[in-house]
Amino acid sequence: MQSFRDITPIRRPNRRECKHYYSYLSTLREDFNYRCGYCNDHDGLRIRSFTIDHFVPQNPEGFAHNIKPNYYYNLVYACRYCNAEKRNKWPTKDVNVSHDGTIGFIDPTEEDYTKLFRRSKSGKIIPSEDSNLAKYIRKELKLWLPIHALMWKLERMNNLIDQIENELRTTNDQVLKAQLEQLYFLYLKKYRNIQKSVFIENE
Amino acid sequence: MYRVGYVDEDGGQKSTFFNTLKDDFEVKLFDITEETDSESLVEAILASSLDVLVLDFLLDETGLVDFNADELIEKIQEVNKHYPLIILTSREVDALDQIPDANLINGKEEMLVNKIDIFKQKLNKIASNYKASIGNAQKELEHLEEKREEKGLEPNEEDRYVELNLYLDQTVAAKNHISRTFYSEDTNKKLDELIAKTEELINKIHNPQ
Repeated sequence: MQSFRDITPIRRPNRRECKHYYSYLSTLREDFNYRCGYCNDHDGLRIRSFTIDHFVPQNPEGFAHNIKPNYYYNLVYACRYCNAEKRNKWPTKDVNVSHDGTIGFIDPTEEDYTKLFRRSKSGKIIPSEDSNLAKYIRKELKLWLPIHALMWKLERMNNLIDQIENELRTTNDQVLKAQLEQLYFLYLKKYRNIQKSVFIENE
Repeated sequence: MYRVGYVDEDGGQKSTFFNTLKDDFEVKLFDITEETDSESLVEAILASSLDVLVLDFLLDETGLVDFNADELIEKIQEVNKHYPLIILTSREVDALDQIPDANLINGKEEMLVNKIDIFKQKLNKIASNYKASIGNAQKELEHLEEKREEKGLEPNEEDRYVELNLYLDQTVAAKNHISRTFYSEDTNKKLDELIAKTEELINKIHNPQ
């Protein structure tokens, strides 16, 4: 098992107020390290678009609140999958209580969010065994969806290509070099096939 | 009670819509001002957790904006090909000219006055069908995903698994058309093998015995 994410996103302090929440998109994108706050998928692989989630939903089920739609510190950079699943859910029905330990959500900019999940060897998002809240969030945001493990794999693959390139630059070991070059070739070939499969023009 | 969104530039029409439907639906009205552009309006719609969206067709009549419902629908369907929506219009001929799917188009006066009960029924049906369709697909996929993990899938189940993934993709990222091979067991296995092989090699390099 591997850790769920390496960096905890931080919203920058004193962000100037914009009229429309959508104006914060590029700021949030940076603050969330180009990743969905909820599933940690990187936005570099343009398989889906990314958007802005209101952590406390604008129109939560069963109650109302005064948080303005453009309040920056309530916004989360999110992939459309997680954004669509979270919708207007806020099960505690109390704007000041994001969860009760069993149901609800944790703001992804909190360290505690990182501790909720692990990654399996093949990139699946696994909830911490002892946390009912982690199980709830995984279920509600559908973090089990195969796309998340696939995105993780593609990113892992990208990182490994970088590592191979780095080793190739520095090694003098000819046997190793040959092995790495072979892998490098396989990666690029696989990568190209995947890219082809992702970006098919709509007919 | 389903949440229905309504897009119209005419304040009077908006309040008629609201008053006609408020007892049976939670109605969310979208404001159109001179500052409204189609992108931000589509984002606001998608962010509003609607169960069904109703659009007036002609939005550029008063000159406030320079787009009509066809442009909004195109943008919505770039994200979600199956987004639950219908058009209400007094200009059915124009709408039929511009909207590829004629099934979406409904006469405004007729629906809101003479056929209001049918209209409400229609909205409920569109919302519930959409919800059920997504819900069932997710449920089936979750089941297959668990089975895949535990003991693998039969070829017909593998086909269904890929199909369900592609269907759900169309509800969040319709523009990026993904081919069947992306979700296939074959792609997954090859990726896993390639990653494991490289990790092993890089590990060896960094920790020579």
